[in-house]
Amino acid sequence: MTTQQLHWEDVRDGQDVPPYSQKVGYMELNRFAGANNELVPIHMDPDYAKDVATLPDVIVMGNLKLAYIANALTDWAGDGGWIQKLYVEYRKMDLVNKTITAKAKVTKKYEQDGKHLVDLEVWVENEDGEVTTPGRATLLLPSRG
Amino acid sequence: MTAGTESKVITDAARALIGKELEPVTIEIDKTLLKRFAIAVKSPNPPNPLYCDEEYAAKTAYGGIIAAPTLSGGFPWLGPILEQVNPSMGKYRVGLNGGNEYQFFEPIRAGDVLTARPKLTNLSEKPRDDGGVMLVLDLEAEFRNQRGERVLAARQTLLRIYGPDQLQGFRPAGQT
Repeated sequence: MTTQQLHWEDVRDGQDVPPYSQKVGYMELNRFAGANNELVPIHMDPDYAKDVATLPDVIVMGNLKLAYIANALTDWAGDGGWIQKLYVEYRKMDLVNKTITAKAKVTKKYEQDGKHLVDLEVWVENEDGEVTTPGRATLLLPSRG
Repeated sequence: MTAGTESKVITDAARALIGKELEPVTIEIDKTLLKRFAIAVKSPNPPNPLYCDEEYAAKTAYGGIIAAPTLSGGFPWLGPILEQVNPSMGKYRVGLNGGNEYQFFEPIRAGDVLTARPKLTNLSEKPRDDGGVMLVLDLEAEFRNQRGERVLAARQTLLRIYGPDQLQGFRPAGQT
């Protein structure tokens, strides 16, 4: 998939970024664990997660939630956009086999040192609409100049 | 040490590591890693071609495939710190990712060799309702490529939950 290029001039304050949503099953978790070399039992083994780690079930790794936030941003920004900063806190667990949605909202649009920047609030929501993973990002965008 | 701030799990040996620059960690980036990661972050949807399709990426301003933004989450820079922290910090029930902060300066490409000197920046602990403790470890690293360019800065918070049963036998900081 290739996206159209977003320009800084197209962005407005308070704008919602199109969300990135995915049901995270064992296929998604294990594929990511392999690619990220993150072979941790709480992300792959329900017996271990429940009995040893005393969690409700296998949990989605924070790095995958972070990647979904990055997906929402890069799908929106196009190839010419660049994520300069990304900050997240993993406040609540997301369990396997649930749909999670990465969202973002523009909080500030500005120019600094000749760069065209956009600050965003970013987060991951669970199926109940609760924010499990709040954060913020700064995106560098091309300008029509 | 005053009451209320007494450490249950933080040892002198671990505290001594705070702020110390450790041996450099080297990470070699190859094309297979970039492509596999690009697929994993988007699966089961099609991957972003900038991160995995060489023909497509050659026509972009980057002139070739670059790493998907959060590839850095899998860089093995925490291990050397944790190997030094772990011997004195006992067994915990579960370790969790508390949060990340990344600043991305330059694209990462196949063939890059990145180097970082990771640092433990803080250790703190909070009592839990079950009588256990949550340990918070803050770590950071700055990665440079083979040309000395600053590629990214990473901060990581790790959480460790100790149950009451795991607090037995600790010899925490300030106690001999």
